[in-house]
Amino acid sequence: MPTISPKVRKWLSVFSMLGLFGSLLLSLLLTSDALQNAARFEQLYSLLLAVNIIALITLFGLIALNLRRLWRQVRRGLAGARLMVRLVTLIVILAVVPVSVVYYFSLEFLHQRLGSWLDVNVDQALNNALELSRVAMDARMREALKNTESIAQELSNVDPVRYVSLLNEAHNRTNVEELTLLGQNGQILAFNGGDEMGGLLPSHPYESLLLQLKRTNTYVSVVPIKDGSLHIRVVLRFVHRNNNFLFLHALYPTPERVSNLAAEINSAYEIYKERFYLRESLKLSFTLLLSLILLLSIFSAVWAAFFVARRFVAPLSNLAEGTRAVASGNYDKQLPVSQLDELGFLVQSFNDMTRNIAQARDEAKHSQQFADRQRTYLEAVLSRLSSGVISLDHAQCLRTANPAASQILGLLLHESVGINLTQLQDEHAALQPLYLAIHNHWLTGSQDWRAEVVLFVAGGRKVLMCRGTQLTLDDDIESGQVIVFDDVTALIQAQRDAAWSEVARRLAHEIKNPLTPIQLSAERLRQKYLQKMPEKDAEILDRLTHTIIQQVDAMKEMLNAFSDYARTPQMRWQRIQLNDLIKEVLDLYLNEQAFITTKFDENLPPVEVDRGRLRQVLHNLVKNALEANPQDTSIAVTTRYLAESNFDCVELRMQDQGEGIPEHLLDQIFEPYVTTKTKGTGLGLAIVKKIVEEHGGMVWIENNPGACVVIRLPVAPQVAPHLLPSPATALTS
Amino acid sequence: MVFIMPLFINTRRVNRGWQFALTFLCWGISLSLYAQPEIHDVNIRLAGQTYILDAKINYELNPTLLEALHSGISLSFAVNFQISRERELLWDEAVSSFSRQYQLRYHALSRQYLLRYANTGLQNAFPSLSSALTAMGALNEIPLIKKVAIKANNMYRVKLQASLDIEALPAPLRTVAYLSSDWHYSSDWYTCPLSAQK
Repeated sequence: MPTISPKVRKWLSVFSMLGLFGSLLLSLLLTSDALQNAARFEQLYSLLLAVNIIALITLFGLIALNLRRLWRQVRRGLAGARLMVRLVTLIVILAVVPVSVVYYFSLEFLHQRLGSWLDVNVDQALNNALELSRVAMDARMREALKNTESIAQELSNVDPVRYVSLLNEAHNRTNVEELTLLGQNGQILAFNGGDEMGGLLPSHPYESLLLQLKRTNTYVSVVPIKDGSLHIRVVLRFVHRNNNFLFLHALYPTPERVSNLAAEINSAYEIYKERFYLRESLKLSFTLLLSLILLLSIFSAVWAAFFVARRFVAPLSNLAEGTRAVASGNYDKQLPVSQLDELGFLVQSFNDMTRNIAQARDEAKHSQQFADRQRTYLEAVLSRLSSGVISLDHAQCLRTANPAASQILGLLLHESVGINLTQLQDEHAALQPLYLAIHNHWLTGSQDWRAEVVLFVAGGRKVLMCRGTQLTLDDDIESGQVIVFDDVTALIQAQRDAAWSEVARRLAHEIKNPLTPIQLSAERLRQKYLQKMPEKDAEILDRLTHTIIQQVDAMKEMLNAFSDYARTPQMRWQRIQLNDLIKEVLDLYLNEQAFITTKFDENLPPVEVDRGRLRQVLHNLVKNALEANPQDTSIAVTTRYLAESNFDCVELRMQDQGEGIPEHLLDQIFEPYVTTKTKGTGLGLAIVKKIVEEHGGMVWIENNPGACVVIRLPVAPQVAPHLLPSPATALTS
Repeated sequence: MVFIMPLFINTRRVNRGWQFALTFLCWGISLSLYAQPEIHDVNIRLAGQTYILDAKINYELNPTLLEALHSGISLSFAVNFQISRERELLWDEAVSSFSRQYQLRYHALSRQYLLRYANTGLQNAFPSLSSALTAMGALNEIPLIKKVAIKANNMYRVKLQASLDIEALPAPLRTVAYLSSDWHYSSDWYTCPLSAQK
């Protein structure tokens, strides 16, 4: 079914209602016409009346529906409903009052004037005229009776066979139009009629008339013929000579002039009588008609009131609805502008306003989207930065942190946004150096600062290069600090390695190269002069050259060791169990006079290490431990798993029974060429430290009371190690 | 007696609907205190190839009708005939229906009552109302239906009713006539059986 637009529906409704009103008006006009004896509509009078009443009832029903709808709207508090009630009431009152006044006076006029039209004098005059006509007819009736009696007299003395000829004679002799002779029982004995009566059939007096004549003998009357002319009928009862009763029926025409005048008087009289009789009915009918017209007018007014009010209120209702829509955030609401008046202007203004609001909203939305995009872009940039960036507000609470910061610090910093830095440091003790660096500069109020901070966090020991900048914005609350830090562990390592490599290269170049000629020269001195020299000198020479050669060897050995230390081989990462590697190394020392006790944590997680390098670490440590006290070579090796808040690690402790490290050397013991032993290169622990740091681990020595070397290595990550950036990979690449 | 106008008032079927509606408007308020026409002595017989009916109807006009008649109002009467065939399960089948129209008026000058037979156009003048009513009530040899239309082994009903035709009254009077019981002048339906005769 095709949908009809509201506009079309509205006009359809208007036209149908106008059509209904028009039809009703026409119908009322026809009814009024019919009441006034208009022949063409008289037959339709009752139909028209019924149609009018039914149409009015329908109209009333429609109006009642409208009223019901309005009442519901008022009860529901719909916008404009009360205004519509007022408008409808006002228009109805304005329409009904004058119409009712007209109705009242029309009725008054009808009832008072209609009576006076039917004047008593006219009534009397018509009665007199009728009586005069009768008197005029009476003379002719007497003449007709006399004539008929003479014919009857003749008929009473003749034989029945002559009845017809006698009637013919009488007809020819007098002005009688029709003569009929009837027997005692009413049977026709003879008949003579003219064509004027319309045929050959005789007019038959009725039985009741014949019965009446049995008592009175004569009957004379004026009778109207169907064409409207008047005739005189005479019926006589007479006795025939053979003592039979006979009836003679005669019809006499009246002169045309007299007949017409009498007929007109009779017609006027009858019309007057009829009108007089109908006056009450006519009043009632006119009252009914007027009432119908009144109702039509009122109903039309009510309906028009509804229509006008609805049309008037519709923009206001729309405005109210539109305002509600705007209040609820729908700024795209546009109202239809159907009129070009002030209301239309108001609606247009509303539309402009909503359009502007919608435009402003769209712009704000675009700005927001732009800002969001910018923020996302900035976040993306920050997230791609290898440097960690965190910002703090004026109360030292964490505001933002990029993923690199979380990765470097081994924390999920975005979960800690809004937390004060002190609290963060309490929760994660490893962050203390960083906290102290920030806090100290905060207290001093320095605008820009730089600091190197060493943390031992997830991923192991990390050296961070921190740069802090004070943020000063208009709003104090918005101000704070931005700290950018880079993990320079690998860089420092690389720098140190490069430095040591350079030293080694220079040593090889500057020291190792002259050593071979020195050694060769010493050997050559020895070969050439040892045999020739006296024994005493030869002994001295032998001792001196031997010393030179030995020291040169020692020097070469030292240089090789140093070269080893400085060399940075390719790391081969493997996921291993530390316990297994320790057992493997310790097995090599079973033959020596070593007493090694182990205490392994069986739930040790795997570590990611270069197996060869770590083995070297263990060898160095075991050797040191064995050399610590030649009298007591017992060594205790323990491993355990340490799960701290931000750092999971595996700890290895190796306790010897020596004298421990002197306090003043504790800080330097891992530096190259720092040793407590008389022999050795002084590089053993330096290599240990280097390798451990290459693994992201930490190493230190505790006096307990013998020396206890503690190594902590980070637990292997869950994901493949090559996917994670590590200082070692960065270095090797 | 509660007066209910029957469905079949006359043969002008066009008007039946609104007459019905108007009838319903005044239904319930119409109480007739006066005598209604009475049908009696109905006789149906076969004359040649046609069934004919004789009957008498007693018309007795109430004062309202008399006053109207003597005030120059022409009164129209109709005698309605319906012939239907009886059926066992269904309602009767209408076979034929027709009506006889009469018009009665008073001629003031001659003091005669004029009876006009609307079907034939004939008019008779009567010196008294009773003679005119008697003449109007005498139904003599009214042809009902052809012999061939009445089938053997079937039962038929002939129904007749005499009534005043309100619609023939002058327009202003009709409203009053519909609303007043005095103007509802109508006999009950008189029913007599009809079966095939040889």
